[in-house]
Amino acid sequence: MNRSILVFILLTQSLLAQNTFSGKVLDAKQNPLAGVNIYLLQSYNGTTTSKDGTFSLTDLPGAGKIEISMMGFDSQFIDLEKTDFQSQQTIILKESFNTLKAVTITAGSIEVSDERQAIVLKPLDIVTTSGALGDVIGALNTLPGTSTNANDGRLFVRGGSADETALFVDGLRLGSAYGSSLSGIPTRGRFNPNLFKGNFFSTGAYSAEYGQALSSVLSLYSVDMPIRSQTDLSVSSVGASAAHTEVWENQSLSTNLSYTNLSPYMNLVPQNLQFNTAPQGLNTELLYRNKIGKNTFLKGFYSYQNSRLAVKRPQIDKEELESTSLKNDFHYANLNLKHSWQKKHLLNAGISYTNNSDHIQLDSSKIKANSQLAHLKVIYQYFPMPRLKIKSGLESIHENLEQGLNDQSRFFEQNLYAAFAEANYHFNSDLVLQIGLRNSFSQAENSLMPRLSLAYRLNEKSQLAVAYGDYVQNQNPSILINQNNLAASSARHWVLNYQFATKDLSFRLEAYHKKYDQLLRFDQSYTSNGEGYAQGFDLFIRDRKSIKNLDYWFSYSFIDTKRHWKSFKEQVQPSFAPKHNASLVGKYWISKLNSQVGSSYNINDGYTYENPNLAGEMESKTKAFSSLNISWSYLPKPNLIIHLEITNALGRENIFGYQYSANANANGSYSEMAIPQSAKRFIFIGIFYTLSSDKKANQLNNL
Amino acid sequence: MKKAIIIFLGLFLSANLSLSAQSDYKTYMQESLALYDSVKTLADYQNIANRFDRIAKAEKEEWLPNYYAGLTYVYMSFVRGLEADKRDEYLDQALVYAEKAAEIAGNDVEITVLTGYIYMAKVSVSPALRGMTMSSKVSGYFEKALAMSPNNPRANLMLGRWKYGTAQFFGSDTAEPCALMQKSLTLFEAIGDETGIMPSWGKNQAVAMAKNCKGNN
Repeated sequence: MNRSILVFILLTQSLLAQNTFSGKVLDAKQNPLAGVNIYLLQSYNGTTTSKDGTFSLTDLPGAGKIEISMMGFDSQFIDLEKTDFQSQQTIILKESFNTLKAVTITAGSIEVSDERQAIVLKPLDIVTTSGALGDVIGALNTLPGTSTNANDGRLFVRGGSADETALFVDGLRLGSAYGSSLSGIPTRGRFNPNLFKGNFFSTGAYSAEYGQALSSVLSLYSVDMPIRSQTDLSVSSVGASAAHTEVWENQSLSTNLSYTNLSPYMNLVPQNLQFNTAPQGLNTELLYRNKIGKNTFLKGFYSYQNSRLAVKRPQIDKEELESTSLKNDFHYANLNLKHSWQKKHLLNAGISYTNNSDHIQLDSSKIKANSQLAHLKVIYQYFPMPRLKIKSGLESIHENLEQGLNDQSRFFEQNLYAAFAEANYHFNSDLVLQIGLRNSFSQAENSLMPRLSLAYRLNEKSQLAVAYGDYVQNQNPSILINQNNLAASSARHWVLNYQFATKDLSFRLEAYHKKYDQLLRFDQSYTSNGEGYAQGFDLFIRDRKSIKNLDYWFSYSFIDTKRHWKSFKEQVQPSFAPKHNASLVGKYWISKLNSQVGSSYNINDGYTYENPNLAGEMESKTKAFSSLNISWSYLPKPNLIIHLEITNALGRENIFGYQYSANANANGSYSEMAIPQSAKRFIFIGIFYTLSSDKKANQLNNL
Repeated sequence: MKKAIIIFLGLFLSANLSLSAQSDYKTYMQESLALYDSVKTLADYQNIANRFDRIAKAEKEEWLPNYYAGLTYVYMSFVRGLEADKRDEYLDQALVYAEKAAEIAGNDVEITVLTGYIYMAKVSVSPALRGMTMSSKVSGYFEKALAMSPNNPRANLMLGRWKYGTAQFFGSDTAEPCALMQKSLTLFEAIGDETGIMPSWGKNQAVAMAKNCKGNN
């Protein structure tokens, strides 16, 4: 009796704890892993592997589970009942798949984000670029794939016209994406760059999510939840602005009000053009975010802007100056709802609305244009496992245009619908494939467009990528209002990309070929039977390690493009796509002076134009364009910045083309007039002051 | 009789087990915390982090094991000679633990300080790249913590340290950060040496920083 109890107790105890589990943990390459956590589930009984990967875990019961885990590796579980405690265990841990460390699709796109270590550009880089004057678009014009058209200000990508780039805010279309301007006077992007945490700029072969853009997509992402409240004030040579962000527990509201008026400046600094009304305007922005519960996020954005200007300009065939005035009113609203569940599903629903109206007075004619664009988009994303992402969505765009000339008016509207689906699969950390399909339909087209991207990592720092895609874009409403039965234009992109990137050095080389079809043509009437191509390569180098405190990037784009387009008689090189384009941007921090000095230099080999005195079409080229911009930011206190910026500091007289007289003169030749810059140079000086409980905050992002 | 003994033994054993689980938690936590005193290498830290990770997985209702696992990973990121990527990995891991702790405990001043500490460490990985964009996050968390609990010595200390660093960078006055750190030191001294398992780190830092302040003035 006593003996049997004793036996029982011994037996129980032995069952409870007696076994030893020991051995070695290795990685897939048979290297020992140190610091691995090995323990009995639901207990504190555990150990950590030593330098040589060995371990010994004692006092184990006969049943239960052991977890073997380590940061960056997939955990393994071992059933004690099936374990032979006598033998030494060899455990091999597999590196877990980590989206942050895995290769990403890079062909055709430049992501501006803070999320990765090795990245081409950070959001702050964009707005501290000298010469950009705090405009996102201005900064993007120093990136590969773009052609600077300094008298226009918009984005021209790889031989595409400015219309071929579509802009998005939080995934939703932004109509009338640039401030209204008159031809020859450069425009800017609409919004304060401070409202955006980053952007995605694609110069080709972009994902199936995007449509109605033949050449390029720029997607801006607004700041999510700011951490604290802050007030920013600024006064500059061209106006003043005040911004405030208020943060509550789960909500925040950012407001921005700015007033710009160039008349005091233009009275001081001589202009090439004669302004009757200097450019002036009001810009307001409201950005609201609300975190509803754990999984739902609501964002609302609204902006109202107005502007006006009036100029008197010489015209080649007119004695007196032609006077033009422009008044613009712009509203943009955007509402975005994100909801996720079970960490595997993400639903994103949004709607945007743009209303833009321009009133133009050209000599005695009154021209009115009111355009509206509404975009509704729903995206569902499913993440069945870390290496697979599935994205699908539906969208509809309604756009209309009302044009008036004196007392007459006309109206055009169209609806566009699209559905898309895309899968992104990582075969392993080094190989990713993205396949997408987009189906869009409207009166002008019904197309099924495949999109494909593949990226392969050659080694830790470099990767190769290829991408392909088909794109369509309806003709602009301002054309369709004349003739509404025009087929949409289409483009096919091929991109090959090599990238080498470390934390402080990146090198990127991309070759592309783009084929255009059904481009808009005008020959007595409109048709869409034009065609064209663009091909070339881009080079980008970013280096911030070779010289201490100096950060610079260099980009060069070679563009070989011709198109049978608009009133061209055959395929020729359009004026907006110079063959050689380069820019160099540098930023140097001088800690002794608490200052950042910056400089950027843009150059291209000149713009093509047609000289009726010579044979051929678009046969001539202006002299090379170049512009040297310099800036200096001085921070006497952490929250105070004094910023000085001069664009085209050398005052080079750039020419963008020539106007020719409609009739030949007595000698039989057509007289010409150069199209110059609107001003020789632009000088900006501003003081930026930030109020917050933390005095370190400043407005560097605003510059 | 035999049956009775078995039942009795069974009851005894199971009662014993659950009882020991309750008191084991504190003991094991204390044991693990005591290991900080003898830390010399990265491996020693990893060992501590693993211990807290095990406790965290066994005690799903307790936030402290997650908190300390996170804190340990912050310490690991400061070990000399590590590459930037490795430091980031440790800090990302620290964030995971801080988030888990916050899921359990909700809005807690200690977790808020820890989160700010993690971002502060992230800034230190690459001050040139992250200083401008991440610094508002760091001060945001420390200020939030101080607002939640004005007399928390760690909230005072960390905000003071952060502002001190900023003031030095800009060559501006260090009076305000020094006052914060002095207050933190006073608070630490008033509390005395704690032996519980609640967060109590920071006194040595406060002493050292207060000395720095005196040295400068």
